[in-house]
Order: sequence, then C-alpha cells, then structure tokens
Amino acid sequence: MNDHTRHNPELPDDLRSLEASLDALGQRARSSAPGGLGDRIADEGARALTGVRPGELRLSGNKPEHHHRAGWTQHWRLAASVTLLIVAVVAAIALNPTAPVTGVVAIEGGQSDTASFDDDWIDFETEYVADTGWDDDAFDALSSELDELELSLGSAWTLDENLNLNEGESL
Amino acid sequence: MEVMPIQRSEPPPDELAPILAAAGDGDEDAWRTLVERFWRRVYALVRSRCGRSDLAEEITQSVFVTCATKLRDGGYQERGRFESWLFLVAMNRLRDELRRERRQAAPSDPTAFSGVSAGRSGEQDGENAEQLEALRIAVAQLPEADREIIELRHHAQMSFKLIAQTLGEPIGTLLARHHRALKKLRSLMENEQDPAGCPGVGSETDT
Repeated sequence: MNDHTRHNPELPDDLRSLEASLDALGQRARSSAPGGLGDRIADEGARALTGVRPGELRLSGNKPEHHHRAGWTQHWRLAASVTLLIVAVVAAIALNPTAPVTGVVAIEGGQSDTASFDDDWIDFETEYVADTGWDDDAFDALSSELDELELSLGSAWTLDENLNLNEGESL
Repeated sequence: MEVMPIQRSEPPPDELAPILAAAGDGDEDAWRTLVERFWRRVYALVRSRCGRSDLAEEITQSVFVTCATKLRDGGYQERGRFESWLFLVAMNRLRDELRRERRQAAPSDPTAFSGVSAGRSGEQDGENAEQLEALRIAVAQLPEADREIIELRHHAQMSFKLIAQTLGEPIGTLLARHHRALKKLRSLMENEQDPAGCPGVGSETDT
C-alpha cells in the first residue's frame, strides 16, 4: 500500500484533521446501514446468480411479489413503441402529400386524380413554387393573366396526360 | 478533532480473483463473501449522495444484483479491478436515479437525513457529533465534482488509485481536486461557525 492509498500527500497539516473528520463521517455513514440490508443484498444477488432473469428484479428487489410488474413494463414499452411508430408514419404521410394543396386543386378543376398528374404537379411545385416562394396569391395573379391570354394554368399537363382538354380550354 | 487515520480497503487482486470466479460459477458462499466485503461502503457512498436511506437501500441492492448478473453472464472480466468496477456501477446507478429524481422536481435538502446519526450520538461525545453533522451538511454543499471525490474517498473508503480507475482521471488531478475540496470544506465550516461572515452552511439551497 503506497502513500496514495492512505493520505493525500499534497495536504498541509492543517487539513489533515479535516480529512480525519471526513473519515469519521464516512465511518458513521457505513455504520448507519440497516442491519438486515446486507443479508437482503446477498439473497437477491444469489438469486440473480442462480438464474433469475435480471428483468424480473425490480430496483427494490426485496419484494418478489411484484415481479410481474417488470413484465407489464415491457408490454407498456412495446405498446408505446408501436404507437410512436404509427404516429411517425402518419406524420410522414401528412408532411409529404401526394396531391396538390386544396387551393391549387380548385384551380385544376379536380384533375388531380391521376398519378402522373400528381407527379408533374409535385415537380412543378418543387421547381417553381418552392424555389421562388410563390403562394396562392401569386397563383391567382398568374391565373388571371393566363385567363386574359385564354390559356389555362394546367394546360401543359392536361394536354400531356391526354385528359380530353384542348389547349386554351379553361379548367 | 482527533486524527484517526483509516486504512483504505484494497484487497490484492489475486485474493479477490478466486472469489469472483467462484461467485461467477454460482457459488453462493463466494458471493456472500463479496457482498460482506463491500456492501457497507457502497451503501455509505450512495446514502451520502442521495440523502435518503430508503432510496440508498434500493440503489445498493440494485447495484449488487447488477454485479451478480454480470458475474453470472460473464459481463465482468476479471482484470484486478473489481472494486473500481463495482463503484463505477454504483456511481452510474446513482446518476441515473438522481437525474430521474431531478426530473420529478424533488429538490434535496442538505440538512435532511440527519437520521444517519440517530442512535449513534450516544457513542460519541456531543461536540464531536455536532461537528460531524456540520461537516456532513458542508459536504452536501460542495460542487458536484468535489463532493464526488470526497465521498468516494471517505465514505466508500477508496484509495486514490482506485478512484482514478473509477473516474478515469489522472491521480494527480484527483489529489489536487481533493485538496481543493478540503479547503472549500474548511471555509464552509468556518463560515458555519461565524454565520454573520457568510451565509451558506445553514441555508437549505441545493447544490
């Protein structure tokens, strides 16, 4: 046992009595331990050593009548995990719509029910709307201008998808 | 106060190794030997840190169940560091529990659990018991890192070498921190004796 195991060698003499008092305080804390606790610890540990699964031991392991709680805890954790997964999926769907927003659908006159159109519309949104920060007002303004020119806002896609609309026909 | 040098417990690794091996093989006697050697020190550390005897009992019990499970499953590899590993498990369990308690907004009171001395004061003279109680309150007011080393050293009776292994810090750093913590304690104790000089020890602020 070297010096480090007994006293802090850096301590001046005037702190050594304080160190000794701390030793006495520690001794008092060790002596205050409940008499039966050592046996309970040994018993619980012995059970763990001989095969009781760790999950069946509660923090207060001296109450074996409550072992079933650990099982229920696992069930609740599983249920919570499944719920979180469902919420995450629903949120992902909500945040990634496959159809144009309602206001735009109205402009398109209900033509959003084909997958190809939806894809094109999403591309359009991505390239021209999201990047430029356009909003519904901007669309309204553009729509009005196109109306004056007798063109439809959705004409390019409706013609491509062969939706029986002629170029220039209003939606 | 009378100086009482205390021998730090540090059984030679080769003495502990066969006990650990036997315990891992399910030898109940070996396990009880281990428990008997360490449980009071773990309890004292935990009790001082968490401030509640009931919680300290639960945590101490949980620490040893964890150790038993690890020994059984081979989760502990004997390299002569069982003691530092045991107290590392205890420290981690304590931190988890104290974090959980803080989330539940139950501020601790450094003046609480004076029951540690209940029933023991008759064994000590009144003045000494009073000084120890003041010292306990002062320890509870130390910053976290300082309090940690004081309690590992004096409640858990760990050598600086083992504390260094447990905390993963150089022994020189720990010696300096211990020195600094003692000076802070002395200052707190002096302020307690002269409350007009500085508030602190008598207050109920949590640290």
